[in-house]
Amino acid sequence: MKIISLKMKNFRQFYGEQAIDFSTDPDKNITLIHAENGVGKTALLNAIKWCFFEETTLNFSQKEKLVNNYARDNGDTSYYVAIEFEEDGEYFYCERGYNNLSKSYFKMTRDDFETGVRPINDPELLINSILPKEMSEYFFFQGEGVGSFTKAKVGHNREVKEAIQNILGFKTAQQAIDDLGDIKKDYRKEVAIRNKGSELAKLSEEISKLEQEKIAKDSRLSNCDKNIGMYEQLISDIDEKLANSNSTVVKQNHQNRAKLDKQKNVLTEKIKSKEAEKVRLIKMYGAHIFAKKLASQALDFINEEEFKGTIPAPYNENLVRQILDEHACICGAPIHDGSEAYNNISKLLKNAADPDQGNRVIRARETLKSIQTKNEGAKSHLLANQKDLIELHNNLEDTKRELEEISLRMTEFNIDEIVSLENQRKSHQQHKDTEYRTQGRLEVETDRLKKSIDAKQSKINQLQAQSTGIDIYQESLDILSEVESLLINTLQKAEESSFNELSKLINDTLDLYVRQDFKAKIDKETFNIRLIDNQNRSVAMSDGQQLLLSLTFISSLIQLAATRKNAQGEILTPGVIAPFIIDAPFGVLDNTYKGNMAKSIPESVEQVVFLLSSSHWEGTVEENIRGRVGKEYNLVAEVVSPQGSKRLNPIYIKGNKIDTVRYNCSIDRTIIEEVKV
Amino acid sequence: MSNNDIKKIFEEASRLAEQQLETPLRQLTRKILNEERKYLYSDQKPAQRKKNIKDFIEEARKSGNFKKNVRA
Repeated sequence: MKIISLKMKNFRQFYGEQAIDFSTDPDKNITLIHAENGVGKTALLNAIKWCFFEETTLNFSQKEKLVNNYARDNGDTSYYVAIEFEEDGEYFYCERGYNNLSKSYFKMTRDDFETGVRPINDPELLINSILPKEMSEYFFFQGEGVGSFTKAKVGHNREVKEAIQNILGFKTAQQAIDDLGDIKKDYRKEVAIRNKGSELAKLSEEISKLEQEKIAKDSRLSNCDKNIGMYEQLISDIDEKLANSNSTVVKQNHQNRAKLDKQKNVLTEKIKSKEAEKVRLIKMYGAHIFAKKLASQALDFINEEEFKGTIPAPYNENLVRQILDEHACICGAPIHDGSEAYNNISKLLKNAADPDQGNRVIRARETLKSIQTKNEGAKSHLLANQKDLIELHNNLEDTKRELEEISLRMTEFNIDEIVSLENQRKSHQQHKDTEYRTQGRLEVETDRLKKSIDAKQSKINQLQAQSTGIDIYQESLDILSEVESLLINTLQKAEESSFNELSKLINDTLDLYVRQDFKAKIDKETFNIRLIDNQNRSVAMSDGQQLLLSLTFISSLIQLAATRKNAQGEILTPGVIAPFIIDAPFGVLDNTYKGNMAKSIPESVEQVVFLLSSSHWEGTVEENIRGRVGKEYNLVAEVVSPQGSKRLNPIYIKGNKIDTVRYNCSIDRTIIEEVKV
Repeated sequence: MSNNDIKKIFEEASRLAEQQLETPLRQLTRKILNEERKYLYSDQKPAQRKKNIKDFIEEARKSGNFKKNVRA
């Protein structure tokens, strides 16, 4: 990136429209801006930073008040900063500002030789892909306090660590590692849900046991069946004998008994059928009977709320939230946080709801009504069933009693053979009844076992269905781990190699410009930068040495970023080439070091903008960089009040006297004047 | 062998090395990082970002380039 020009209107002390053209000449790559304290050096640096990133430096006071005071007092609240720049042979224009409606905007265009000027859809993304925000703070640099970079810190030197990591483009990679960690957690949860191996094995074992138990009971049932058949045959044989008895009374009794037996079987079947009907009715009505009271209360609630007007809600919650989020009414009028309109609209949320709520309420009401309707037939059906069952049981008991009486009468005959047959019959009947009872119990038990096996099998099927995605998630987890490892390794390698590269770049500068035979060393553990002498001993640094080392570190970072710009195969954010714009850089440096740094910086970066006060400029700085200055400006303070006893304090550039302040002007402001020398 | 010949050999070697570096794993990683950039520097929502990353991983998985015998 090379900045071509800057234009701004009503930005801080720069009232009206003012402009600067920057030097883009590689041999004269310095744009020099003179300004005494309080005139606007820091404001100018921040105009550039704000235009690109809507951010300002930490030392920039009252950063929320960017509009010029005079303009605001005269009803003009609009202001902007616009920058033209070039990147890889393409020309861009970006402008950030506030219009007269206090609405902020940021627009960007690309000026293409073939297609002309075209707007950029996502200017924030584009500007950050040319110069990421976190890297920019080392290019648009506030020099005051820069010495703190190389002050020895207890523990980690956070500033140096962050600077190296920011220049290497760690931010996106670290964000990605965090995200991958979160996604891994999600995938692991899915795997855990699907990992049913042990549960499946346990269920299979349980099914196996139940099946064994069922086989045993089925076998016993089969025996019951055989035994019943056997006893029936024995009884049938006896009945045949009794039917052929010579006694008319015995015959008659036997015929009655056969009839009653038949009746008993019919009644037993009817009872079974009615019991089945009872189960069916309970299944059909049970849930509705239990839900009746709840359904009634819920219907009352809906009817009451509907009456009050809260269901369905009078306001669409989505629309209200959208208006509040966008801070704009549907008519286009702006709605500011905390304004009366904003508060009134916020209050609507109390009665607002999702528009789908109405449909859901209608569906709920229909369901509740159907519960009530179904209940209506329940009582009569269940009572009828109960009545039928009682009647059938009574009839069955009567039939059994009559059968007992016949059996008793048969044994009262004084015929041995008949008595013997009747006793045998009675015994067979008892055994048969026992077998029937056993059969009934076993049938219930096998039915329970079958249901239990079916339920477990169903659970197995369900678990197997859930387990089908496990391979997919496992595979995705493997891929995630590979990406994560690549990122972590890349960050480690980038950091390690940066130590060597930065050390070399810093020491190349120190070799040229530091009086003593000192080297710089970056501690890989703590990120502290120390000066060491030729015996590898740590040197206690003066303030000047600290500042020199810090400036060298920053300019080396910028060089490192440039070397990474076109690196192939990189996965981290590429490096950048961008102007080094530095405000008040030389602080406590002595004259020689000032001159050396002023000379060194333009040699190591493509475009430099120095914002200097006379204390930084005069003397060795001018001598060392004069030949590389392509453009030169002076910021002049225009003051409404008269000069009075104040001194003018002009500066001298190439022997020419240049104003730094003018009195009796129409407006208090700073103007930018090109220095033609 | 002239300096030019040596230069050409190195350029060709560098090109081949770059080709080998351009693995499916690196492509996927770059894609994820680009998505992160969109979030950091644009108005992408976090939930959408994670969803998109999951989609990229799913796409990579389906491509078959990450099977154990096709190591990146």
